[in-house]
Amino acid sequence: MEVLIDTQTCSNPLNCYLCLERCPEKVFGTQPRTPRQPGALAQDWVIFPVFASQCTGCLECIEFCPRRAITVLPQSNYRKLRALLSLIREILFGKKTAWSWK
Amino acid sequence: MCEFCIQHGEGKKWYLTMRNYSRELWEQCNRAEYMEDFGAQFEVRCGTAVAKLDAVKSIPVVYRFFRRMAMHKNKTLHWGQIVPIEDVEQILEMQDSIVRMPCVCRRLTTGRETRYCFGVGMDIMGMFGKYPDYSHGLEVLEKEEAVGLVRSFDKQGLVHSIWTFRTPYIGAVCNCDQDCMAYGIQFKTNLTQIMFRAEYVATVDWNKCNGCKKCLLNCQFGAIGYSNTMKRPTIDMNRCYGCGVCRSVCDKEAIALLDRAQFATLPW
Repeated sequence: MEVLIDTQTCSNPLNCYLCLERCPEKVFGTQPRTPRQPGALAQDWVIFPVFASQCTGCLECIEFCPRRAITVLPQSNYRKLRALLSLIREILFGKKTAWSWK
Repeated sequence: MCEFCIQHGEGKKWYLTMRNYSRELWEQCNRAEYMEDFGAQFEVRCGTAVAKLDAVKSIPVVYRFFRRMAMHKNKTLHWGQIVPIEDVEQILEMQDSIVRMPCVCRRLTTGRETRYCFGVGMDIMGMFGKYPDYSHGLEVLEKEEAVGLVRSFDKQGLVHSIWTFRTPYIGAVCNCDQDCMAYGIQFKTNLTQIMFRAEYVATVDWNKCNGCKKCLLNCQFGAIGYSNTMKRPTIDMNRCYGCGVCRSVCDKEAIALLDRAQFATLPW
């Protein structure tokens, strides 16, 4: 399944995180919108799907989201291809990923 | 003996070798900078990369390639191993500084600040002190306090693991459950391998066991089954990670850890 989150609608998840709590498959994760700077508290967070392939389509998240920011769709080849291209780009041009910090 | 014991262990278990915690090793290879970047940007880097790997999971050959590549990179940069409580105590005894800090994995997966992780052998305050997200959660611990905390985590069913920062330097002892990213990546979704199983594997002594089923609830890896005919639990050695957490709830002390190396076909 493919989980899309409208980060404009879900603008301040800091005091909500209902989707993170309610998802039975723990699909969601949260990260700062911009990289953390020294000396500043990360205040602008966004929700994003981490393990989208685990999604069973139970639609619990849509039911509980107070702002209706989540959409669940079957996985499209377009998204798959974009992820693939971005992974290839990381290898070719040495962009940082989780498994190559520096 | 796992692969790392042979490479970095000097004939012992690699995580019980003093050299892998030494100041000397830490000063090599830009480790301080690497660790700071790791902690500060964890959610962005790890989250995005895992999400991408997860997206290509259904493309067969390509996925195998990225899976292997991620595993290889992880082995050189940030690898973990499950460690039972006795060995954690030995590790903590060897340290001169232990800092309790907020868990980065749980910040990502639950959005909450939970302080389950220990930074060992180095001054984390100097590094993470710059980031207010972490600095107010840091706490310097005495050895006895740290050991007491790890024992209480063991009772709660949390699995202990050690983590390298540019292998073989060991910088953190974590207490994981299903919210942990490593658990999600390796066990739940099997995207790639990111940690070794423990050097042990659990067995249950049916003569001592009374079939109370408490251990079934405490196993994070679903390795314990229950035979209703025999009224006794069985431990699936192929699934067992050797964390030893099931022992902490056993009243009869029926569960013991055996050396994993003596079973030639068990996975690491």
